Amino acid sequence: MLVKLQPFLMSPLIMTTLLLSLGLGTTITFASSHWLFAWMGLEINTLAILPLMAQHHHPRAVEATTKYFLTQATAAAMILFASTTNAWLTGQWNIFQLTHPLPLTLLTMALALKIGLAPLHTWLPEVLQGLNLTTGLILSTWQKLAPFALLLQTQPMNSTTLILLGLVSTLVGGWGGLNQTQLRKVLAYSSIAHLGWMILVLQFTPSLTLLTLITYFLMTFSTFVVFKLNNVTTMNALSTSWTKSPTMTALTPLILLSLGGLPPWQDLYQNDSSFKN
Amino acid sequence: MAPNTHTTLVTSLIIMILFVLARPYLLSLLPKEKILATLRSLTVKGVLTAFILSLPVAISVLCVEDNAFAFSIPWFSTPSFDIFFSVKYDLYAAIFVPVALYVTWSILVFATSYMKGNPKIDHFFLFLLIFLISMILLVSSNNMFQLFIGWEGVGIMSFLLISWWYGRADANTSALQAVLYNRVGDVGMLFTMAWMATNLNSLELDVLFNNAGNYNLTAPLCGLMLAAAGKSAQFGLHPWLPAAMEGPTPVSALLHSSTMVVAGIFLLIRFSPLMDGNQFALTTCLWMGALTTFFTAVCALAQNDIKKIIAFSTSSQLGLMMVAIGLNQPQLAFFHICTHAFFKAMLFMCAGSFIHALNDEQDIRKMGGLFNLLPTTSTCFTIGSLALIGTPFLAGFYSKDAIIEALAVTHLNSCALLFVLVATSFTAVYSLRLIYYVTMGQPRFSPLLAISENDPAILKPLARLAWGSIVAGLLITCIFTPFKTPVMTLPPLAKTIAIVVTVMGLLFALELAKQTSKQLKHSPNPFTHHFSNMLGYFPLVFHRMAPKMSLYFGQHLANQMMDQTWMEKSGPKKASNTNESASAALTAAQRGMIKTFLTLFLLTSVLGVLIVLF
Repeated sequence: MLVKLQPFLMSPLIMTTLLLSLGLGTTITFASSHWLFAWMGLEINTLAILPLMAQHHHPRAVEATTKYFLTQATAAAMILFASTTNAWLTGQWNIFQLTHPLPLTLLTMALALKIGLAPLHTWLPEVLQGLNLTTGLILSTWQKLAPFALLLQTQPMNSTTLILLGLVSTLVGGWGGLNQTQLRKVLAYSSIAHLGWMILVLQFTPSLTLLTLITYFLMTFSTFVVFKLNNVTTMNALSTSWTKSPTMTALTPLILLSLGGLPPWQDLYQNDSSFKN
Repeated sequence: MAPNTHTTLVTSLIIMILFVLARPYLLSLLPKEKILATLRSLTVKGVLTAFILSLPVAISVLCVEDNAFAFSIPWFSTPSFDIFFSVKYDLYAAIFVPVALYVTWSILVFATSYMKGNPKIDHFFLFLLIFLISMILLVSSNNMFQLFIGWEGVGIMSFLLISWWYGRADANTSALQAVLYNRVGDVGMLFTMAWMATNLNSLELDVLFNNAGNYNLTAPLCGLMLAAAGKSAQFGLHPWLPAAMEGPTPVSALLHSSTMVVAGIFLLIRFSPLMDGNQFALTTCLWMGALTTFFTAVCALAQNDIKKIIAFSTSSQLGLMMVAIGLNQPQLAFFHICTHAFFKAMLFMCAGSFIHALNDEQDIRKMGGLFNLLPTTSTCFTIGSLALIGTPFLAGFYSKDAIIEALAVTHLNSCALLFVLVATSFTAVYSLRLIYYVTMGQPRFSPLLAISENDPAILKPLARLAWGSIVAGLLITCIFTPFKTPVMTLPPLAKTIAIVVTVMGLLFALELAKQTSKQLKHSPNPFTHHFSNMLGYFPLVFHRMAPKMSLYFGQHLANQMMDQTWMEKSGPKKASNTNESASAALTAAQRGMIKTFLTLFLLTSVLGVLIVLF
């Protein structure tokens, strides 16, 4: 497949617009306290990343874009529906005060679909597989910020739902990632697993969730960048990457082990603290 | 003579006996070539000298008060007790050793002729010599350790001698069979030794007999009975004895008729003071013996190999000796050992002479009419057979009739009595069958065979043992005073039951022999014949079943219960299998269809709402 090995294939002007829109969307969601405003931010985010995803124009990328759009649109529609239902039931649109159980559950499910928690995870590996590594990086890191902001703000949430989502995510992320040879799919499953942990601890210590999120971003960023620099997308290619950059190949296990949660790295403390809490 | 003179005489003579017996073996260790050729005659002369020297010892033992000489030398010590080299030359040992030496001497002379063509004949004689020394060690020991040394020694020599012609696969398997069955018996022996060491802190028989009253002796006696069953081929551990006929005829004559197989019985005779009060042990011995004698007599009826028939008759007589022990009459058992040695060795030697003359033909269906061609051998064969069946006033009569009389007057299970009487009648039947097939009728072998018995090395031993078979019973009865008083008044039928049953057996056999030239039934009924010919199917079943069970349990316990269960089904393999299957199942659910995502979303939402609301 003759793909130009450039991260971005569009003119700098359009690229700037898209990236700034991406940033704008997330920031709007951060800053909002009205549900419609939050929804708007999420939609801007989705729309901004779609051209980025489809920039390479080959069928796999387009397929990934389509799937992404459909799932995110569904999720956003569900968020809107949940907030509308809450407005109907409680008469107000405030993000902090979404406490009625029905819209709260619907919202949780929608946000879970947005970030890719099990059992709503099925789109994530396929979408990530269709993207190049840089766009995949953006998808894995930046796109999770906005929904998490909403999750952290809408408390209390139903324990059972969150525990189930978290547990299943952990298991699915672990087991699903075993059977892969494509690195992007492995990273997708690892994202599912980490998000599962974050959701688990959300109801007890939200600050720990944030900490986990930040460390997850750091580690995933490192991994994606290492893969990008070596230009590997499969395990087979990874096995010959030592010829290309021996030093980086020697250091990559450290990143991967920290992603897996082994001592003495950060993620162990996260998981450990989650257990203790 | 005063006891001191006796002691000096006996001690010096015993030392001389041991030296004379050991001399050929010690000389063989020297590297000189020419000594090897003279070993044969050295051995024969040595055994003869030992026999002559053992006679005064026997007489001295009879004259001394307790009828025993004993001495012990400290040998070595273990942390808990000391082991001595102790010899007790009591009446049993004193009578048995001359008998054994006489029979061995005759067999060795016979072997110089029988094994003449064999290049390793001197090794053969050495093996027999080592066997003899082990046997004498066994019978004279006063110490379980020493007895065990002799016990194992005779077992090993039996193994080496059965597999003398080791190029033959059957000989090797038979030797292995002998070793394995003896080993099973040795477990009992070791158990008894361990019991003695732990409870009595000593392996000396004197200590055991003094302190026996304080303990429950069933356990060590069971061990001893197991050892005797293994060595003396009682039922259950009997197949090795017929299989041991793979060895040369002198070996069969010496080991597997006169000396080695009686070691088990001798062990029980030695320990008979312990069995005196233990009814369980006595009953077990009685039943073991009755079953053995009956079963092996049945098996002997339909065999076609001359040596196998004689082997089964040995087994049957061993059962009879065990019955005597079970009747609490060890002296009668010992008596039968001594007389049995004579006529059984002679029967084997006659068989050897027949086989040699017919150019190694052992099947009785291919012999016949040898009475005219080998008269001396046939005569001795007949004398031996008559002694075996208990013809009045030959050697076998004194011992066998005494045992059956004791059986008839003792208060015991009449089924055991029935077994023994039927076995006695069968003895007559198969003896007659042997004589009929081998010596009578028309010849059924090739006319080109050069049949002769001119070798004095064959005829003289046969004559000696024939004299022994005739007078030994009378001699031993005269010099022994029985320890237990025999019953003197019996109803006439009880007194003569042995003779009556034997004569009835003989008449039946004669009648059957008459029918061999007629055809009364158009097709035979093979069931009983096959049962007897295949030895009751015992070796067929058990020699396959025992290894199969062991291997089967090995597979199940070691492989499936331990390894498979803990490693594969529950431990590491289980973990890996679970993870693999879970992973595969999950990734198989991803097919790249959007409706999967959305359906899951719908289902999860509905489920979540339901959980929350209700």
